[in-house]
Amino acid sequence: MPSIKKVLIANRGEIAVRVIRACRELGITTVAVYSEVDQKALHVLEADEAAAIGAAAPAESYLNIEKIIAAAQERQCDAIHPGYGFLSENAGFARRCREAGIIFIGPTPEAMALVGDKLTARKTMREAGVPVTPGVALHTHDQDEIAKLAESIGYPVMIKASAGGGGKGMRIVRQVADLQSAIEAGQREALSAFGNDTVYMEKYLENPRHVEFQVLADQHGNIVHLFERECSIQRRHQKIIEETPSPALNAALRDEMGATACRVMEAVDYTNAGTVEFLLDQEKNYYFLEVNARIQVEHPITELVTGVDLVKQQIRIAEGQPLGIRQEDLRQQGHALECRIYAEDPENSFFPSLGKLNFVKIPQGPGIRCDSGIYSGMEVTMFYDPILAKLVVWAENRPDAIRKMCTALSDYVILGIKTPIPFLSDLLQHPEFVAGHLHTGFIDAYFRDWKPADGAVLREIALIAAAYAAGQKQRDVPHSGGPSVAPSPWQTVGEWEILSG
Amino acid sequence: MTMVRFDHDGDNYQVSLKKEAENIFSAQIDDAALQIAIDAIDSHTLSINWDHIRHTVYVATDDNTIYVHLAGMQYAFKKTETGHSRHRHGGDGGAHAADEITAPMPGKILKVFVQEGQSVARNERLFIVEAMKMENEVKAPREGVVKQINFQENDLVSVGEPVVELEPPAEATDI
Repeated sequence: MPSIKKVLIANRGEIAVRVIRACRELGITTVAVYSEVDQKALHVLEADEAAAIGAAAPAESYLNIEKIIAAAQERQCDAIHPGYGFLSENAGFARRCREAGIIFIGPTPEAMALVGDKLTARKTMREAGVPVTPGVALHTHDQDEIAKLAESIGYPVMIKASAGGGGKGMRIVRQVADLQSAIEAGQREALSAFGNDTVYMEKYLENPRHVEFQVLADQHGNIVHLFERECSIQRRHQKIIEETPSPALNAALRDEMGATACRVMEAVDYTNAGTVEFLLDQEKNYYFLEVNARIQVEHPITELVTGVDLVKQQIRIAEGQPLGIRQEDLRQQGHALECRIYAEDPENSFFPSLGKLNFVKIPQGPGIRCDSGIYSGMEVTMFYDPILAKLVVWAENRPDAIRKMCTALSDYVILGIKTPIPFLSDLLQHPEFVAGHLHTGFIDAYFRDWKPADGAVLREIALIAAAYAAGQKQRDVPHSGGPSVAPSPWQTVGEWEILSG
Repeated sequence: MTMVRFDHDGDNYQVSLKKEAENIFSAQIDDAALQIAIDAIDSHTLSINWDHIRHTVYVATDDNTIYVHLAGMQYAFKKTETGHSRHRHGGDGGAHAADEITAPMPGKILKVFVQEGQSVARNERLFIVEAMKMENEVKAPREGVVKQINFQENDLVSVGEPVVELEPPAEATDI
């Protein structure tokens, strides 16, 4: 059995940091890769070694298979962890790793090709008797033909990237007039995010829940599921709040869906960690959506309720070790919630918010976990996915978890760009959220045109603090030009008299 | 005594702060006066005590903007010279502002669908801005003629920068 001693992490941001930490705890040496703009990114600082792999554009660096393979060989890595996004679901990359004699920490290229191509996966699942939504491939560019296909499925339809995930390349179309531009935009986004512009069209279910099951499968035929994650709270088809257990499932439905998830993975000879996504309609019928053949962004909530470290499991499975967990040993204990902290403006359609992070302070306390890729002074650029960090909490039950998350959010300081922190806090306290009545249209239904509601007193105190800081800044000006480690301006607070003189 | 004018989302404030004792300040915000205690904890952290309630406030300064975090809320106060709002979307911009079709987010101009002099219908695609792998398609808010295009494909834009300038359709000016 090969033992992994040195891992290259073919990713950036919080997930690269997460993988580096798991490796370090296992005594494995880590190699980060970085593009020109990421030279001082957190994952580079955290790793044992770092290799420059090219320009900022993802195609030149984090999506450049040959550069990453070359870096792994040069640094004598025996394995590559792909994280999520970028090359994580690229079967060609997994195959290239195998050819180069490098262990790919993930499923085999064969399984990945079967599930990673959403179109092939839908076909395989239909044949395996797993329920899927009606849909069709878009092999033609003939507009009339495409319009007919949309008609036959029935509007609204969803355009999706076959190679995709994470909301990239996805568009809802409600009328024929919008079909062409949606397909074109979907293709362009898919090409830029995944290097493949194949899109397909499926029936769009109105207001379903998104419920997914975490699966672990080893190379010896052992397979377990680690229960569900409900990820219904989304904006732009991208999850922003996830939780487990799902308020929608009872024990019987959970067991049935978990068994189906294992059947899905067995149908494609899946190994390593993977997630089977389902849509659950209002009558609690579930439909196979897709398999995410990688570690998921929201994996920490599963870790908190099951006590299983999924990234370490990935590494052990990739080494060829048998699973040390049996289905009957697994329990969901308590309740976990995750909020994704994106660089975006909730008051401006969640559009990206770029710039320097002038100050960052991460909340702490019992049951609070923050997987972060940022630090004070870091620049957020336009080149990559806008996820900055994930705030995760665990409590004994759902109401306590919600309260804990609101407290943690309130303590989370990110100054310099807009983040959805105040929005997330309002959302968690909405009566429908508290009641567990979630669906993928939740934000559109209850939070259109959201504005932060601060009290007058708070604003006055904020203004006073700003004036105080401005006073310090003015006083600081003559001293500027010194090293950045100048003494704290507050240490000389007594000099206020100078200003008032 | 410090006196600063701030712009916050188009609202203007005048704040003055005068040190009275060790950590005691009298503050005036527009017409309201109050007395508070400010303890500086470190270069980003203030403990402000007002009316027997303590607030931990985090501050950071970048150019002319002072960022403040307080009780889960984030504020960006822009220091202004005149106290005038210089917002493009503001009422004082009037008809002129409506003619400028601005970038809805910072990023790269991925595509420009129109040319100068071209007539466009309401909701016709004008351009696409892309950032963080996300595309944002900007459509014409009304019928008109493209007077000027300020950016080319692959140019970088900031949020609020005018990308396309529209003028009323030719027929309308003839009448």
